[in-house]
Amino acid sequence: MSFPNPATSVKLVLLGEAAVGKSSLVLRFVSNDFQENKEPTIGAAFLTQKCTIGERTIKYEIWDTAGQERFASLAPMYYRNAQAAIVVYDITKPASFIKARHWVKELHEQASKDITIALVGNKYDLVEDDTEEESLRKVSVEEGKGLAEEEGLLFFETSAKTSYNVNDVFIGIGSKIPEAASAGPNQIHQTNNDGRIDLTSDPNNRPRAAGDCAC
Amino acid sequence: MTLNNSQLGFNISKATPTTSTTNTNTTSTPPSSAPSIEPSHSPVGGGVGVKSSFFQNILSKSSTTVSATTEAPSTPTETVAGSQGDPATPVYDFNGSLAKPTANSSSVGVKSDLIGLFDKFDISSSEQKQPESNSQQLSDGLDHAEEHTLDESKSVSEESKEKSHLEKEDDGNSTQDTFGAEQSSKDESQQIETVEKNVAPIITIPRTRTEAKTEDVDFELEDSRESELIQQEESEESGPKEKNQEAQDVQGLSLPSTEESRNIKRKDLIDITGDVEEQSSEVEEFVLKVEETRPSINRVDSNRPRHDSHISSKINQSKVDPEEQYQQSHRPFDFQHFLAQLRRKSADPVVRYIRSFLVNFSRQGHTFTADQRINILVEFKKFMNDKFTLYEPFASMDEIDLENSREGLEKLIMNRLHIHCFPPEVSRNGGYLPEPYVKDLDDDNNFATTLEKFSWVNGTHLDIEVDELSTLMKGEVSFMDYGIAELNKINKYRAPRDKIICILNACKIIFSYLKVSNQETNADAFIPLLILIIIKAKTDHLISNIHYIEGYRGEEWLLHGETSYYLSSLQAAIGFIQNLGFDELTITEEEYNAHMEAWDAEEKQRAIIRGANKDIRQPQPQRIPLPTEQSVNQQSLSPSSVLLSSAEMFTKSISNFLSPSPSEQMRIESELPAQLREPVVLNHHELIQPQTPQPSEVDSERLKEVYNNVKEIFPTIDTSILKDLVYINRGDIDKCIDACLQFMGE
Repeated sequence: MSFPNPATSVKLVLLGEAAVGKSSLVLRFVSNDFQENKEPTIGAAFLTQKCTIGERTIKYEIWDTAGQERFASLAPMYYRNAQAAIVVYDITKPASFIKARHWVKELHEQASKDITIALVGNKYDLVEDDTEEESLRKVSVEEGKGLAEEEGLLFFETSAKTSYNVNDVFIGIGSKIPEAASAGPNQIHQTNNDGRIDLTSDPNNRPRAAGDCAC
Repeated sequence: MTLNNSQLGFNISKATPTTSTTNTNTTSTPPSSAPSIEPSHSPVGGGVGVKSSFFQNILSKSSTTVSATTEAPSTPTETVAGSQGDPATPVYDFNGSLAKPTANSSSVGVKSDLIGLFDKFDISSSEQKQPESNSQQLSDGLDHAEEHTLDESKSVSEESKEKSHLEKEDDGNSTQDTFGAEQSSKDESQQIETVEKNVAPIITIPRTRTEAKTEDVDFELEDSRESELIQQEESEESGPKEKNQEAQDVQGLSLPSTEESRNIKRKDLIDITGDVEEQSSEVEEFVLKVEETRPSINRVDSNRPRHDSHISSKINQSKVDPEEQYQQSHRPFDFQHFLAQLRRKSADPVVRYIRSFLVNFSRQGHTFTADQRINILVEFKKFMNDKFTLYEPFASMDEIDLENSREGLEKLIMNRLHIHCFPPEVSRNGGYLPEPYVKDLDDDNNFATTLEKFSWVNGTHLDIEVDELSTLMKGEVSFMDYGIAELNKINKYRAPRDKIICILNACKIIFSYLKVSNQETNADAFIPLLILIIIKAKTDHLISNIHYIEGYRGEEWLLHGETSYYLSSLQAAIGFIQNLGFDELTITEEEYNAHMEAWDAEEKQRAIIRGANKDIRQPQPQRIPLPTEQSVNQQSLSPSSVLLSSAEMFTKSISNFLSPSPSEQMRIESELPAQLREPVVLNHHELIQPQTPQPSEVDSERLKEVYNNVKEIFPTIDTSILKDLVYINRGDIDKCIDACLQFMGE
């Protein structure tokens, strides 16, 4: 490799119930970018995006999965060899959170041991202007955070619509992925990374993400 | 040196007898092709300079062949002396690697053969490095060392001299129009320079050494090519093949694109260097694609008029898409470029490694287990990767060009070894089928059965708006048909990469459809469509194809990127279909059970038909003159249509008994079967499928006649039920009989 800073490929799989905004999230992430970091793909089911985090350039290869329940059994075909996963739920739909819990469990059981998982509660825009009495929110921040802490996940609440926190998800994953993981299938488990949740992601006091991501 | 030479001579003489078994075939080729070629070449007036220089080459080649090495030693004598000792080693070894496996091929010890095959490569690789370090003299030195080998081998057999002489003429000629005409002038001059100095020996060596060995392979190739040709002529479907033809026409430049000239062309190519040239015809396919598609790609990307503007769809299809794909997921792959590089004199050792490998694999391949075949190819690709670092033009390539070379190598060898590695092909040729191949073929069959069983599944069962899919047109074809056609092309290609392209093309069409119909292009929308297309396409040997791709596609490409995603999706979709059941479909239990019962009945019926009661279905068309067209049609249809119609009937008969208004029922049902039966021809179903006439069109006379016939066959069934059955099936005698059988079964 002649490049001074070669992009390391990271296979990232998207899991979550249908219509929680998995692909919108990724499209937002991918479309916020300059043309040069983009590779055209034949459909949004597979997208790539380069992202520079500090010294490293990560090339995400983002694998979308079908969220319909009937296709749940297909997921293992997608998350095998994945170095990262984003499990998405809709904060206005409790069922989608239950499903997310299942995905997390399954990933821990079936996917690579050192997979980096981010739990993402999407559609934050729907609850942004909520009042105390009347809220569309059905899954509290605490519930999400709680699950993330239990399972050692990154946690974010995002809005694909307003792009709130979207890049942070990918930056967070990129920072957490062990250096060796991107080298290929023979990943070396990074022992000192015990994957606590990203506390800075609290939507209430989080400043807009640092701009070191090229995306 | 003398020692080496004597060993050499020994090895060669060892090799010759083994190969001479195939010589009967061999000797016949050059003479037959040579005369036919010569006339065809005289009009190919290329550049005069080019021609004459090539002519020179030919002359010089033949002169060296006949009168040993007169010319070559004169130039770099010191080089020879200086580097002789070292470069002699690789040459010897190479001979060894050529000769030994050949000698071994008769022995059955698979393991040892396998190991031997690679040991030899490895040995020669390690020793080959010595001369490499020696300097630029390397190539000259090598060549000269080879000359000596050549001399040795020459003296071994007089006969081969003549042959190589002949072949060289072919070689020169065809080089002239394939290579010479297409190469840039720079390459040409380079080529010519080197050629004049070294070519003679270099070209001659492989000739004499491998000639006999390659030839049997050549014959296989010729056969397969010929069958391809037939396919080309027979079906328009063969987009790739069409391109193949075109490629050859282009290659021939001034040659008219008549069948004859194509044949000549073909032989021509095969005769040159066997493997490499064989590929070159294949190659052009890509080059052409590249050239022809570039304009259309932009069009497609910009505002995808692919769907709006219909540009003689078939040709356009596969040309646009593969190229588009290359540009998107990798850089464009240029196989022709790789071949041009191979033709450089400095790449000659690479060519010989490939050739000897192909020859050996073709001979011994059948003795290897499935895993061994895969491993051997993986190892060989690795081995060649190392070799690429030793020889120009590969040695000085950047990573991108090198990847092109690796792609080219894979395509080249897999095009040749497909017949040994792709289970359906192995089985067709009556070869030995290792256990996993048997399993693949079984899986193929089982999957085919599953597809039949669920051929009634349509878009609504997977929550797809299927109407648009089959009515929205891309040119003259619906997206559905288009996608199906693309997927089914997978069996027309041999190299793993090409097969992948077919899969990607099918996926691409799905996305085109999603875009055109303003749906999201995510997996939620994509996967069900992919599943539907697989169900409807009924692609032969899909599972074998996937395993073949997994086994023989270089891991560097297989495990990453878009290809990997779509291949996984295809596998996931296949897995879904394999485990398909009520829970996976949006369907009422009644409907599902009806389909399943119909399937079971169909199975039973098939068993019956297979057995004693063959007369139940067969004589019908003869006795009843009216629905002949339909009967014929029905007969020629896959069993699924029978199943469908009976399933349909079953549901109908139930609902019919419940529902007081059969006419309304009819109206609804009459739309259903068209979708169910053959989505492939959905747009044309009125034309192609006359089986679903509107109720109004059903002639009451015919109904009566059919009713009478059915009554004869099934006297035990209540007449009112029979009447209903006949009416529901709109007088289709076959359907009625199926329905009655079904009814009896209950």
